[in-house]
Amino acid sequence: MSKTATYSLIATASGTGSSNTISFIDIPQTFTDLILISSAQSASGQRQQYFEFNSDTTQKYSRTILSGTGTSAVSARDSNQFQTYLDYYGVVESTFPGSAITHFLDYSNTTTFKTMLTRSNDPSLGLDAIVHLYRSTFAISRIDIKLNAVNYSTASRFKLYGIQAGNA
Amino acid sequence: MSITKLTTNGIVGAKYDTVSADNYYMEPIATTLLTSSQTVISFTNIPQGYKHLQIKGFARDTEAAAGTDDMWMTFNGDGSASYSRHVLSGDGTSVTSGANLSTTRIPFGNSIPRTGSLASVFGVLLIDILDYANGNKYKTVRGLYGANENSTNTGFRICVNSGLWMNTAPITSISMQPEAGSFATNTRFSLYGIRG
Repeated sequence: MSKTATYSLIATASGTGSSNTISFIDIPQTFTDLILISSAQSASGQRQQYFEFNSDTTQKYSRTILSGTGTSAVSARDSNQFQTYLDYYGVVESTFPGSAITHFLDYSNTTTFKTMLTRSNDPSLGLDAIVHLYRSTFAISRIDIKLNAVNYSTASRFKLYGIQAGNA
Repeated sequence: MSITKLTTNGIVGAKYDTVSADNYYMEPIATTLLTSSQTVISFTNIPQGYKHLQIKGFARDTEAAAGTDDMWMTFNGDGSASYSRHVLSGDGTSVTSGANLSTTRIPFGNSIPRTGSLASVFGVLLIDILDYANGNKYKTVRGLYGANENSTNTGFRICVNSGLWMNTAPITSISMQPEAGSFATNTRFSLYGIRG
């Protein structure tokens, strides 16, 4: 059986302490899917992270959320947003890293809107499962991850992987 | 320092294989991408040399009404009441939990947008099938899936589920179909093998 690696590391990024934005630009269009892994800490306080795709800040984003806090399970929905948040309770802390993994299926498809799945976790607040919709048929060539109101600490790490499916 | 090697040296009781991190990887096995509608998508003659399987799905169906449909999964052509599943889902307003015991398939509820829903919207499914080739165990499935159409329709949800096929036979084929209608054009399912 031939050995074909499926996960290819496209790029890594780290927080600088002086910016609230991590950018993956010129994303190759040769993969089938993407996975973005975030291990993030804020410069201060509990903060939410959000995505913008292709520098698009129009109201094309929406999401449905399923969360657990340790005492309750909740569901919520955002529609017609200018960005889409990776978290609800699974936010970023300043004293320890929180994790978020987002799957982008068919990110380079130019005939469909883009649907993504995120799992995010904050050990002190809660965890989330989120389905996002970006109502654009453009291929995703740029992903900006932004931290709300404060900078990412230098302990923050981000990795973007390309997933190659088998031949159709 | 990253972990790159595990050995049995000095470990009492537990037994581990000596491995290197670069032996573990995920391989694409097959992909089905629809250029026209199709009722059932199947992966057959699945190689038995992996440890686990993963399916990534990007799906829509041909039903005219708005909303979503379930996707049904069966193994080895088995349509008997040998399956069960549990699900936790959020519809944007409420959290619900459900179970189906002794069913004829594993349902992935509310996973597939219908043609009557917002155009160009597809549901996304990530499905893991663990120890699929083991001839001594029932087969366990877990899923993370959902769809959103920028509306208040509670048929569009985010869900996590677990499933069971009460059969010790190695899985050699997997079939998927929407509960109604057919998979629509541009639907894609990809099968991956995970070595271990």
